[in-house]
Amino acid sequence: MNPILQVRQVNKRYGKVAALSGVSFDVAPGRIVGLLGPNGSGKTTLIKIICGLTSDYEGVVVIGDNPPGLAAKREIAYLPDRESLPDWLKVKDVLRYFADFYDDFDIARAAEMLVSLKVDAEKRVKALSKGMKEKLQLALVMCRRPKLYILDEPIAGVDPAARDLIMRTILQNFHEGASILLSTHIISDVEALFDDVIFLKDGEIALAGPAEDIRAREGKSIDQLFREVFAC
Amino acid sequence: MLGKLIKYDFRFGARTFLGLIGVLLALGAVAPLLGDDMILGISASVMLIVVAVVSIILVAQAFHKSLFAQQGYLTRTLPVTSSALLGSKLITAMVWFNAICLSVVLYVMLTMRSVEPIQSIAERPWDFVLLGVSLETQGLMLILTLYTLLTMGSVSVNGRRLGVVGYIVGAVIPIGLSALLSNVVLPVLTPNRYLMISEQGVSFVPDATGQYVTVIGGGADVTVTMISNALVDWISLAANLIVAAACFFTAVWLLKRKSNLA
Repeated sequence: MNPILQVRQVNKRYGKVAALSGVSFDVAPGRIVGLLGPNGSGKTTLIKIICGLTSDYEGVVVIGDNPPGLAAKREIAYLPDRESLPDWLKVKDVLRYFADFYDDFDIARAAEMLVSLKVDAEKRVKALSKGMKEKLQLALVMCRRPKLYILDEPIAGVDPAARDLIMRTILQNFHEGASILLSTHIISDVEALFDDVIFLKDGEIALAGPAEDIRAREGKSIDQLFREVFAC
Repeated sequence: MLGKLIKYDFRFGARTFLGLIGVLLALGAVAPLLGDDMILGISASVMLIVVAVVSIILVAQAFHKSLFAQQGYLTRTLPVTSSALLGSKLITAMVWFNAICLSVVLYVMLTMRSVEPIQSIAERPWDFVLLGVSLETQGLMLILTLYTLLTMGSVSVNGRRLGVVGYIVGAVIPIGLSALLSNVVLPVLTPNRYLMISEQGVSFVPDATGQYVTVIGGGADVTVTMISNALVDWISLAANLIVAAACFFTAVWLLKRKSNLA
């Protein structure tokens, strides 16, 4: 089966600093891939390239059959690592906003999910707490039916209980047959979910492969391995 | 998709721009209470400058916030083209530009307690249509110049964002192009429009032959003037449109190929 995402020899520099060097990997359909690395390792830069938010890079990125751009945007549901929703809209209007722009957005399911996540649809986005905004963004992304979900640090900065809720929401709602590329530097709570992992260190892939194979080969958990690879 | 983008851009700007228009009209209504004509004149001039500056800031802020700040992570991953994103912002800004211009006319009428501006329009409707066209092209060029310089600020060269340098380059290029077109290229193509006459004078009303004369340079004895056959200066209008089109396509290309979100 053709990969949903192909990344080949991607290089990206910020002035003299190399943010990504020769990064290559594939994401196959139906896989949950952990993009792992500490802050500053290049995870967000790589995700921004895939999502078309950064255009001056070297190398090849293909999403489905398309380079980053208009057609590829329809195939990707992207959860950024920051608040990006129009804060002047009410929550219920944000649902309509997504329904207006994404044909694959299930507004009824999103409304139900917000009730279960206790997000008040009548409130303006700017009136929500940080945690509620994160839940709202997650619900919007997970109620789409794309080929690839890209989730950038969805569990960073939240307490363990909220972490569980977020991961449960992701697993219960992601579209069957779709793939997930999930970036994080918090491994212990989520490593059991990953089919594949990619360790990114100083902009280079330090280790990549099926999570189960790596555990068997190294004789340790992904979390332990992560702490060794990225030991300060 | 363009229609949907316009809908949300309107909703974003509505409260601010309608508020600004409301304040302008309210001040126009109370201004005559100041009584003194000189104070009235000065306050009206100050008010118009403030409205112009605030409007430009609001248009720039809306563009920057939507495309280059945090909200850009949503806006720029929507399945729409860069030209639709820019076109939507442009159409919305032009509508607000026209609303502000109309409010300024109403403000002047309220301040003067006079319907003279409307009478003038009724007497010479074609001139005002042309004046309107001229204003539209100037507004179009101004807004697109603003968009181009803001986009240029987000462009990366060798991985470094241009930032302030980009803003300056983005402003200088359209202004320079406009000056070049207005003062060199188009006048050379239409040399008969330029005359030398031997007396000082400037007029924005038609002379005996029905022509409009605008001073564009000269010394104490000689004045270089440009004669056009209508209130609107067709050369400036053409230059504005060419620069606006150049800015639009440049900004779209930069957004698509060179612009990076911080």
